[in-house]
Amino acid sequence: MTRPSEAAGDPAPLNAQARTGAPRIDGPPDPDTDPSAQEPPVLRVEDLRTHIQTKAGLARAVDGVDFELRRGETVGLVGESGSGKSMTALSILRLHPQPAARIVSGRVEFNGTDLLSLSEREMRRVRGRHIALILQDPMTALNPVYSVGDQIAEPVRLHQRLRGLSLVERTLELLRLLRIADPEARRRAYPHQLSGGMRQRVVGAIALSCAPEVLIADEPTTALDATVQAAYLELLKDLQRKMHLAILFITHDFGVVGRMCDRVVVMYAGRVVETATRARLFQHPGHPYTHALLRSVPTVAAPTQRLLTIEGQPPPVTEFPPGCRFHPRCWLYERLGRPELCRTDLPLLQATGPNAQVACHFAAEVGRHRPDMGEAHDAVGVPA
Amino acid sequence: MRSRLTALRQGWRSEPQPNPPSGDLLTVRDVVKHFAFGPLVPWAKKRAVKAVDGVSFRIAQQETLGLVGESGCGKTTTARMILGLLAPDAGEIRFLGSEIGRHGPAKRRHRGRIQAVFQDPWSSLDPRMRVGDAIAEPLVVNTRVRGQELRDRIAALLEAVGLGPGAARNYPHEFSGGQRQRIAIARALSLNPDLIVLDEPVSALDVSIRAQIMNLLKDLQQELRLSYLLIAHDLATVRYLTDTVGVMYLGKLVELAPTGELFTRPAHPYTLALIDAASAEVRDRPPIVLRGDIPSPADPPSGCRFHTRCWLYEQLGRPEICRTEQPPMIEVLPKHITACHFASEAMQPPTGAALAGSDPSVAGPAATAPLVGPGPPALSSGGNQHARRAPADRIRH
Repeated sequence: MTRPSEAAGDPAPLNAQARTGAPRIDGPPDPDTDPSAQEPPVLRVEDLRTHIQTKAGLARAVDGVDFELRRGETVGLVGESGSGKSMTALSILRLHPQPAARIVSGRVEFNGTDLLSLSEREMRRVRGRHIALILQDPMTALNPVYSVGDQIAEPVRLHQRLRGLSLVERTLELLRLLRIADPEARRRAYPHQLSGGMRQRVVGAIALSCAPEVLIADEPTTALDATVQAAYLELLKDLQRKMHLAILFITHDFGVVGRMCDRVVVMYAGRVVETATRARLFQHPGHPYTHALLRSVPTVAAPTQRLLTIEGQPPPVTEFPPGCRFHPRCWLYERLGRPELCRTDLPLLQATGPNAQVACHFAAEVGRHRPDMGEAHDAVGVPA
Repeated sequence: MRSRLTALRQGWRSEPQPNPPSGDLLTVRDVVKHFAFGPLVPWAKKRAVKAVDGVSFRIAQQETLGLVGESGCGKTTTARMILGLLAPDAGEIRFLGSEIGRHGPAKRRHRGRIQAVFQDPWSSLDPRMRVGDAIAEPLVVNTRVRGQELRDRIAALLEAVGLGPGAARNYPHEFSGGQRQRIAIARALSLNPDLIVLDEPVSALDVSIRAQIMNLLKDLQQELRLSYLLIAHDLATVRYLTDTVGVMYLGKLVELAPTGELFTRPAHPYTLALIDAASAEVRDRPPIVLRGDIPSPADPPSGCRFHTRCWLYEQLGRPEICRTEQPPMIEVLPKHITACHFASEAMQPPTGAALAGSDPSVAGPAATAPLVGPGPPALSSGGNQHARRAPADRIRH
């Protein structure tokens, strides 16, 4: 494992575990051992449920989410707005809006430690140092009245107790790591003086400043232009290889999933409906929702004759339908003659292959049928 | 339903429709728009953001033209000029043969024929107006339709976009994003326009809703013989909806081509970089990743505006012409024009030197297959070889 500090021969290694007296969290395993599937996951989320009290009633924003994240791996958390993907990310770091939102059950294991059982004081030592977060909009993530150098230095100062010249050195090193040209000048710049792409790199520098094991990136490139986005994703990938990072990548964009992710977790209405490797998801989507969604998105690679449409809209977060939450919009439900099971029983995740799980009562049927390109769904009939 | 809508369309024309013989609905020629800025004192030297700096294209009847580009490329400014919301500093925009944006009455006559659908249906609809009133307003202002006839038209319009006539009595907040965008489309259709400017019509919507709106737009186009100008940054949307695509960069049109051809044989290095940035597939050739950010349109680079980020410029050893001369628009294939000094090199697959951090041995000539689609092998024909030689000769001088 190459950490930036080792290359620079820094006196204080980035992973200065002993200094902080943090909760007992295992350090990284021996760098020489090859990461394999047998290695325990860095992050394991089990039956996580975060409910929010709203005026409209109880919103079950996250309602039973399970997944694992291994070292060096990128897992995409995909879903539409309101599917609970961002609330999952915030709940992992216990940054969910309190007291409105409450984690009502579940485990979030980081290297074997349940983060939900830690005290707030202990949790503060995990955030930024072991698990870092990049948010969508760099302008709101950065403080407009501090220079970017100060903001990058803050976590290093707090977690690793660096001061003075070595703190400046570390800041410059991080700016260089994120390929920001002219770091000496940029260190003194304020966020408004930088372009969008540069700001998001600064946010990246803050996130990676303490060499975390896990990076949670919540739509980090949505606010960026296409070519700037591509460059940012390449940079993240490169840093991931260098730092052996585990990345949880939250997005709604299948293009980004195809570029970045090794495995994908698909969410719908607060629950995980499918997990699969990237290749399997694109070639053999196992859930009717994923299946239809992939066909409703145009691609740049080939012309599309007509897009499939998914009827209706995602259910409001306070009123999930009974049974399978996707059944009112499900093409397979219609095709199978509206089986009662879909209306009454909530399907659980079941293995459908190596590294693949699907939450559908009729997962075996998905591959045998095709969604109808039905014109009945469309507003105006296509003239023959 | 279809016959009803078509009947309505014929009925609500207040004057006989002048039939344009040529097929060109809109012609945009050398349009320029600069925005001056600087200290607010008369003696201060003003600078200008060159938002649109010489853009030309045409839109035929029932055609969809897409304008793509990143922020600051001038695509929205171009759209606003076509809508008559901004007057161009130079150049001309002709709609059905007469110029827009100069004279009052002509401008008003065109307003109803060119309509717009904006990105965000949460801000484009007045929250205090019932949906029916919002759709009726253009009709009340511009026509003499009133009473039962007006209500019938609103019902027909709502039906055309897939909403029930009962929706007219509701307020916008009672609808979801996709439904609001349908309302915005119904309002744009109310004056029976010929051209609709779609400014990012689906990017604010959820992924599963986008297909509904895109298919609706396609159906309405066929049904009502509409032309669209689509402003979008998402290339996949553009590929699905358009017939022709114009790629813009810093106020200039850098490439204009039929959609299929633009995606299979891009002739400008920027277009290829955009396509690579939007591609999900991992290819046998590493994707082109541009370095740096988009320069400020207030201070665009000299020569070719793209040269500061151009992979081809680096690959060709930084030829001087890219820094000094603005590339003219040349036709590389029929109907396919591009503004690059080295267009035919751009149409070759990039070599290793161009690809940031990649191994040159990986990207050999064998790694070209995904880019070159099926089609006539025009690249190796005589005419193009000539075009390829010409710029090289100029360098040697």
